Amino acid sequence: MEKYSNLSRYKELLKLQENGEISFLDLELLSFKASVEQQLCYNRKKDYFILIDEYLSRIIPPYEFRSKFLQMEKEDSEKSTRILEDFQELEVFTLANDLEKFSDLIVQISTLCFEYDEVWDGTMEPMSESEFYYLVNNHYLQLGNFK
Amino acid sequence: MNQTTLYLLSKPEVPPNNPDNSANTRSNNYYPKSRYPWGIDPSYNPAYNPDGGSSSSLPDNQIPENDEWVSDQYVWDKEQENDSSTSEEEENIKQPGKLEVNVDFQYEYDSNGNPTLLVPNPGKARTKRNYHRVEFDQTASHMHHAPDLNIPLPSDFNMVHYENLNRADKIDYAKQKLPRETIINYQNEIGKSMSPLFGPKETFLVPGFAAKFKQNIELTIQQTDTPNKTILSIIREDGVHISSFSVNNKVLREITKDNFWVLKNRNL
Repeated sequence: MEKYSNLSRYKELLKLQENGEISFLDLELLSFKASVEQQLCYNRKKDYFILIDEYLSRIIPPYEFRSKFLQMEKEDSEKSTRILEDFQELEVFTLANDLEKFSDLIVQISTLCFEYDEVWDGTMEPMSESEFYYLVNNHYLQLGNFK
Repeated sequence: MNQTTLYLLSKPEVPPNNPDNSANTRSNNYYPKSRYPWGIDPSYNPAYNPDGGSSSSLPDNQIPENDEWVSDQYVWDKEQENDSSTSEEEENIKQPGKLEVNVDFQYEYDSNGNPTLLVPNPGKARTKRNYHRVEFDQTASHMHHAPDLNIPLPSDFNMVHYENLNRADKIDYAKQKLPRETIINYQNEIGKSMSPLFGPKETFLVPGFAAKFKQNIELTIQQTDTPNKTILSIIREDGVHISSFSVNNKVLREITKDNFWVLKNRNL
């Protein structure tokens, strides 16, 4: 683990945003904020892996998997909001070295869960459960190194 | 696609100050040099375009000569008449009766007698469309995102059941289970989430892509008062609103990094 060493830069970016010099879509600022959320997900990766395992082993049905996965992410998201407002906590907050790779794979599964129920305007082809399963499994296999 | 143009709908936009930003090349393009309220670049505006407009631009900060001033009320009225006849879309808006609930936008009725909200399109000079259309049925098919826009659903609305239905059945179920007012209020909140904010919070209008084969769309991205909650709205190329939902920082970062590409696992 490495220290959350760029706190001063984060403060600087917040100041720039406050002054209207950068927008809330600034990628560096967004990356700082997202990294806290990603690390919280990383910290309980075992829980995520158990959930994915249960789905892939067909212990839990797809709908339950999707809603639980998104719920866990929501919890991490809420916790990250609190941490981002607490500079003392951020001072000692550490990020894993392989966080980015882990997050890229997790976000793929999360995106699948979110997108599954979208219907567009009726012209969007429904995603089959087998395609969803295949894609989740594919991303999960790549997460093997993090277990 | 490497170039994206980002339009700020609330206050002047600024380039990202990020030397390490992997999307810097794109950022240089999606933050236009000039800054205009409502995200409108005058170069797109027929009024400023000698080929497309009826008037030419005035030099910056220069007051016209006295003899060019128009003080005659008759001329003003006449000009206003001419202005209103320039937009067929505006002319075609029916003046419907009062809705059951107050809404913040103009509206017209669809063939089923349901309202379609006409949300002013801040990028109209570019897209040649005056409005984004928030349709009743389309909104009823996206009730799963209603809580994101603070629209409460009754306890007997079975979301698990709803999400397993096809689009037509979703619409039927929503109409059956929800008061009409709930869906109209939801339409209104969607309209507000696509409109400029006047205050410290920002709204952006940005061209983006949807689905595997990158169909052109527009996105509005609006900050909310809740930290880590941003409302993203997808607008089809013809101006019909498709969906609005909240995203957190992590998702917003991914979408921004991907040049505003959404629903990328789905087929259209």
